[in-house]
Amino acid sequence: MKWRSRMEQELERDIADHIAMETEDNIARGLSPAEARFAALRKFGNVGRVKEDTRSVWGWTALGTWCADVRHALRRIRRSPAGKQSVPGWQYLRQICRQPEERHHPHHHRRTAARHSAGCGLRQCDRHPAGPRGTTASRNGHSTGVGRLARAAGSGVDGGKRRIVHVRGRTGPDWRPGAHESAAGLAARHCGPHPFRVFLRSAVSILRVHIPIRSLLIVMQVAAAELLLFTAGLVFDTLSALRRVDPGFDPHRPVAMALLLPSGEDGSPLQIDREAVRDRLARSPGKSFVPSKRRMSK
Amino acid sequence: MSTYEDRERVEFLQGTLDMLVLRTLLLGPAHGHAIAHAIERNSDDVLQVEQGSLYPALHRLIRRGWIRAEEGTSENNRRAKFYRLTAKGKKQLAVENSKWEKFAGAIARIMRPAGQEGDR
Repeated sequence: MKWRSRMEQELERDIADHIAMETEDNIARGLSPAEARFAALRKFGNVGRVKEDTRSVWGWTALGTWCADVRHALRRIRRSPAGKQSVPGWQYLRQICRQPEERHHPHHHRRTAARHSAGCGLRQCDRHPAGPRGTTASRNGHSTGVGRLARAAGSGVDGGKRRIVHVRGRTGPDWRPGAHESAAGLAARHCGPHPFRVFLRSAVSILRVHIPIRSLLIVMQVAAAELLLFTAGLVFDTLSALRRVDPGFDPHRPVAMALLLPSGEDGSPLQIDREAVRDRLARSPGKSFVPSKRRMSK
Repeated sequence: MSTYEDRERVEFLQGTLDMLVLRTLLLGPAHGHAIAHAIERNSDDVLQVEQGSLYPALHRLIRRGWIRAEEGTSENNRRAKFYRLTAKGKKQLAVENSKWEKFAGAIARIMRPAGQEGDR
């Protein structure tokens, strides 16, 4: 990494020197300093693209991107609550599975009046396309229809501190004067919990999993990678050991001879002294091993 | 504003920049700015070097061992990195030169009959 950092610094210095030289040339041609530098930059081209192209020549683009991703993931884990304390895993599963547009939808804000049958006032809400406007407010103070009413009534959500603030206002048919209800209570009473949340809560309640899922996944990936490496090492070691096995003969220059004894005229096996034949073969020079084997009868 | 001279300038064929850099460095070590200007000057300002594209090419040549970089001082007493042709680069330049002559000859042989037909 130090080598890469040094190369980056040298490249930046080269580019800066190049632009400075071109600027000096332009000034010598009579341009003002500002015009000269602008012309030099224009002639040089896109500095960012030049750096990127040069990095690709170094061959670090893929590795650098991967390292940046890993660093980013580690930062996120360290800053997330999961990195500091044990929290139910379903919260992290929910955050992972949530679609990007949902993250910005006030209905999916955590600890808010997220889903309410009285309508949220957002035109693109497919969950509550119609219905009278009720009372809601979002965590960050996002202004929905009745949220404004609620804030006008002196209540709402403290977006800066991101805490639940009881909402007072019209909440539909169940509203009664002076009623105070938390945003989460509104959501649960009007819409009920999200099916996905119900599923995850059930799963968590069954498994009693209170561990950071993301960290667990990373640990599992690293463990799987190490297992694969270990397995590859075992295979390599086995192949190396096989090469060292002594087969009992020179596998590069094997010499084999088979002696096939003829049968008798009537097809019966020829009656000979096999041991005598074997001894004679064994006494011949150059033989180290003479096996004796009868042909299997059909 | 685009002038007639600007339009007359042509951009590099793919892969020719490396050869031109090697050919320029055959005259002696030079820094990036000088290389770009040498190419433009020696082509009578016909070839337009996008100066930024020079640096990926220089680093590519360093990676292949055809040139090497060393610290130096420019004619304006400015610290700069000078690039010098290596022995391997000289051999490669000969190869590139041979390939280019074949390529240019082939293109010329194709284009010549069309020119002769036009003269008739």
